[in-house]
Amino acid sequence: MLYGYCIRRKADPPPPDGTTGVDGAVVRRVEGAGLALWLSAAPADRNPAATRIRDHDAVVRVAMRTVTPLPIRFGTVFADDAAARAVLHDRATDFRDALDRVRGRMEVGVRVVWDEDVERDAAQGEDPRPKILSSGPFPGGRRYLEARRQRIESDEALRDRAGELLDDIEAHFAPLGAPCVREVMPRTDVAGTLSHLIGRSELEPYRLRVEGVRRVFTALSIAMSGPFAPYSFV
Amino acid sequence: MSVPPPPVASTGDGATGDDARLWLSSEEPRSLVDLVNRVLDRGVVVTGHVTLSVAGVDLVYLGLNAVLTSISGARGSGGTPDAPEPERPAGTDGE
Repeated sequence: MLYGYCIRRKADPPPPDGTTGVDGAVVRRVEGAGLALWLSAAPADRNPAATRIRDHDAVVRVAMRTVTPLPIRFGTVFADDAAARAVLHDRATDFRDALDRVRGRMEVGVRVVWDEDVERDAAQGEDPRPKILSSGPFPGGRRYLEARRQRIESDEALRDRAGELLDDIEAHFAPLGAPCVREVMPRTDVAGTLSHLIGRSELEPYRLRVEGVRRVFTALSIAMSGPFAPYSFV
Repeated sequence: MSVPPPPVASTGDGATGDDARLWLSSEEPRSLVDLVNRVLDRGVVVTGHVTLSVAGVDLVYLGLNAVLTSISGARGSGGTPDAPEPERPAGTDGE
């Protein structure tokens, strides 16, 4: 079995000699339909251990040094070279279109960190109903169901607030004109993330814009992430 | 994992020697959270199938994240990457 890392054009530089990937396997490439797929011998299992995740991304980053590739999702395996070539042939048009979209670009992003308790209270506003703790006590089923209903409504309100915050923050990045992918994930510490596809020469302007956003949203913690290969834009 | 030093020559993608140094592996613990989110949940998704025939009835099995074989390999035709691909019947795309 073979483990896949990324896809590029056949004319792009091959993996440098000595490049190794997951579990130290040597990385090579197979070619088909004018494209090339970087791969190595697959590990015996596909356990996404942290070291393997880093190894996977490290190979993709080697590719990023020269030409932006299409990074493959972790854990993708092929039976043999013929199977890998078949994928290149079957989806050649899609892959070429995607390579054109990401050519000369990279992914960066921000993670919006907040205080859930503060934001949950803000999201619920002035609710006149007495709050029932979801942890109880519940002297009867009715009280339990009321607690559940309040919790569900609170979660929905929190999610809406996270979405509104991301909308406001995203508006500050809009002048970049960069494609954006956002993910709302209201949790104890994270409201969500924004990912942007920018040119390779635009990292410093992006950093400056993140600094500007931090000065506006002082109650939040805005953590910049990246640069990455364009995982979110393929 | 070992990574050879970055090349310096420019490429058609606009990458340069300075840019190449951006892509040296980062060992910052903080970056693992953002990395995991991308590597595990995003990126190109490759699915494959093998078309088998049993008693003249075509059966299609879909394997997520695993390309079991090429169509030619499944048929035992011994197709090679340099040989023309055999014409595939309808319903045997790689998706």
